[in-house]
Amino acid sequence: MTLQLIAQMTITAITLGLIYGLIAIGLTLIFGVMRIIQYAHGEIYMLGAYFLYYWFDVLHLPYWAGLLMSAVVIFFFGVGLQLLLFRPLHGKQMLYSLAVSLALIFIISSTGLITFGAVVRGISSFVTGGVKIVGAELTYERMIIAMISLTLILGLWFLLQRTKIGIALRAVAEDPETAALMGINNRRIHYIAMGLGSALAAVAGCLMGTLMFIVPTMGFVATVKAFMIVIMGGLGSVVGALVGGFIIGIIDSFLTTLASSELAYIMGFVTIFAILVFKPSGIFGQDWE
Amino acid sequence: MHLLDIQNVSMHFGGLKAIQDLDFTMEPGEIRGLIGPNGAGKTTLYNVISGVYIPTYGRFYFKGKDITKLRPHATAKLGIIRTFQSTTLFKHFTVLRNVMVGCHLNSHYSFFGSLFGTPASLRHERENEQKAMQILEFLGLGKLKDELAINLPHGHQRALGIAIAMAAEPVLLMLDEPVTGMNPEESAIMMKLIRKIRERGVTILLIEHDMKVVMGVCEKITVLNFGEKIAEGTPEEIQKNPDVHEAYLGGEHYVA
Amino acid sequence: MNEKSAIRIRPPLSIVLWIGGIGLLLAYPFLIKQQKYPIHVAITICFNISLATSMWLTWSLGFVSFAQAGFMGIGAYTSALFLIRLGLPLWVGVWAGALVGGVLALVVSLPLMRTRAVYFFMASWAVGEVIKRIFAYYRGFLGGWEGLFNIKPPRLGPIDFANHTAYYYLALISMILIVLAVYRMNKTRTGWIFWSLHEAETLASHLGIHALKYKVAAFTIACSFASLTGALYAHYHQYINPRSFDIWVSEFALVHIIVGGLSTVAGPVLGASFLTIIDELLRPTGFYRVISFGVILILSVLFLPDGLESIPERIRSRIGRFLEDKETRKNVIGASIKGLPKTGKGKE
Repeated sequence: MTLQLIAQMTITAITLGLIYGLIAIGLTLIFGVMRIIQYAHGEIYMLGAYFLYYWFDVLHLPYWAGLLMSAVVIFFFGVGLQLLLFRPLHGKQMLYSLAVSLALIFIISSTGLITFGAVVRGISSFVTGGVKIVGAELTYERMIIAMISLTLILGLWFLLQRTKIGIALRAVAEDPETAALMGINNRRIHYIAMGLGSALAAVAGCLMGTLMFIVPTMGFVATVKAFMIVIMGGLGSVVGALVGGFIIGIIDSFLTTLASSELAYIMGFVTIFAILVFKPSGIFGQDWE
Repeated sequence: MHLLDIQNVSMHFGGLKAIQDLDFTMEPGEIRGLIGPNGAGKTTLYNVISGVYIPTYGRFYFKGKDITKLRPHATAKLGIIRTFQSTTLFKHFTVLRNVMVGCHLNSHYSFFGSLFGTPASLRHERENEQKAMQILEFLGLGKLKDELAINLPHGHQRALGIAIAMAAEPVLLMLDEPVTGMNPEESAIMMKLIRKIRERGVTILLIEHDMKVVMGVCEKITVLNFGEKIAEGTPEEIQKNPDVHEAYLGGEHYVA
Repeated sequence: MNEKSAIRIRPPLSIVLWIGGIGLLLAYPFLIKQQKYPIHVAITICFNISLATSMWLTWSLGFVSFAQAGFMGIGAYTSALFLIRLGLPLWVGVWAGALVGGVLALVVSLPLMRTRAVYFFMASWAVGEVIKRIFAYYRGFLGGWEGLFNIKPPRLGPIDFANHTAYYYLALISMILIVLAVYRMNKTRTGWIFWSLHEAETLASHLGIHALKYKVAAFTIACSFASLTGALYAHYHQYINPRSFDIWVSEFALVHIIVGGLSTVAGPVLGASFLTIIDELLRPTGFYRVISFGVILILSVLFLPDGLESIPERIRSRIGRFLEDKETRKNVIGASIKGLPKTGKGKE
């Protein structure tokens, strides 16, 4: 176990952790505000990645504009889903939102397979070169991706803590009735939460696609990881999503390198199980009905 | 030996001290009132007694047995039955079925017996149904037996909640604001009902904000504020108690 | 929960229908002249009904379990290995599979039940997923990703169950037993206990119903049923690999019960039957088949939330309303003919 290896795994862990955190925060936001299970969150992630792919690799438009546009387009896609599918189910059992989002998985991933083909692709790098830290490779690309993720996460924290909209989001998540009494337009907040959560997933998809690869079935693994993280960190907790993201990032990075991706996968589950046994609501979760 | 003996119990939720060093006893057959401003810890106390929460400190005993750590289903089996503030019913069951679920506690149940429809299991079902009907008649809900609980008007839903509780054959019945939303006539009927239930040998603990009911039906009253007991005594004593007046902010809730 | 059955028919008629229905099911292979493909579809329907019904069992307590797929796999692998490694036929394997599944479910459910209902589906899925990966991991003993071959169906005297018609009866009987068991559980006191936990767990607990005990029991039974079905599946297809027990099996079972209806056991039966047929009809269309499933599911949730089993009731009330409107229309027309001012369109 050389220092170089540890450094390499740590770099990967941090990058993965941040990206996973983005996806998970999006999911926890959607659940926290609307109490719906968005099982198709990973499909949104996939769509974001493919948007950037077509923008950058196929149409050769600027990368950064593409990243932004992906977020914006998927934001509105999320709003559309909320409007057409999830809002009619508001107040009904969670089973129905699970069902509808399951249907979305069927539709989106199959459409993806038909449209994009079951081929593995990658979003080209937007910058080459890098530095070495104790012998481990740290590409500029990775650094920038990590910075973007970090900035988004901090930006989101700022949004939730300091802006009116953010406080409104938290209010509706905490107690929708009181929030409505205070003059908050719950419906609008739902759209924002869904759009924002989806946009975060889309950006995560773009970043992961640039870092690794894209394939129409990438959505499912992302969904699994996102749910694992959110459950571990506590449904509705943004800090929990971030912490959980890092835990899974570390497990993924270290175990995939040292053992196998299979073991990493299994250990991820075992860890979550263990955490749930001691803290059934997740690390930062709260008891809610 | 007290029926219920709560010794120095505290319930903390993180930094929030919902109940502090509470000593509280009840004797068999009494009708006790538990009052206090909102947030005083009354429902929390119910949750501690029934087993939803395990107290942070202290112990409590029922008929001499330590029940501090028992969960709701276990305290129910000992005879501690409660009603709930918000209408907690089996909303999509019929009125009759709601009460029959209450009967389950004290009736024989065998998984395989009911699966194969043995004569014994069928007999138990019939007995439960009869018992449930008796309770419904007692409360004046007999005609509504096939209505879905969710379709009942508010007053009937509260009565149903009590019917379910009674079906479980309580030794200690803990009522949580039973007359909320009732007019004076309905409240008077509830007061009569409470006395009738006590005549059957049930000890009753009553959380209520309607002072007419509390003063009218309770023999002894315990007052909580900020999780602590600030007074305990007969209705007359409580009405005269200055600490109690202060707790209720000038006695707004009082009906002299 | 529905106290009334999905279809209300007077006793003598309903008995006739039941006998007729069962007769039809028994005569089915001969009615279609023992063609392989329709029998295959029928067997698949039986398996899907069994799985959907087992999932509905856990739903009656209020939680969705995605573990069916994994436990189906356990039953399948156990039975297959009993044959391949120990030479014991399906008659032993199916019970071994159900037992192993049940014990594992029991062990796993104790920590699993501590999670909230919302998390539960993911946690139960995780269990199934880990199981699947374990199958894939041990290549030597468990066949790895390539799977296990030569899982021969058994013989019983002169009957060779490699014959699809014979296997059909096997699948049919097991499906009927499972549905019957779940139906009986649901209809009697056990069912009321389950549904009371579903409706208002807090209240039920306070009435002496030990929630954890019943949840564990229901989960264990449901998983045993899934394992049993898995064993039959293995000996029918004669080949299994870990991918046969992927999460989509659980997901499809969920779609079956949502489309079919959640109130009574008729839901999973109708849903699984209907959707398996649709699935087979759409098979040639490739991915569009999956898309159609998604569309059907969405349409069902938005427009028929009570499921297929609620259709008879809907028709009945439509007819009732139609007849009422007819009466009202007659009155209005009659009134206007008599020269009274029109009271507006139809009823108030």
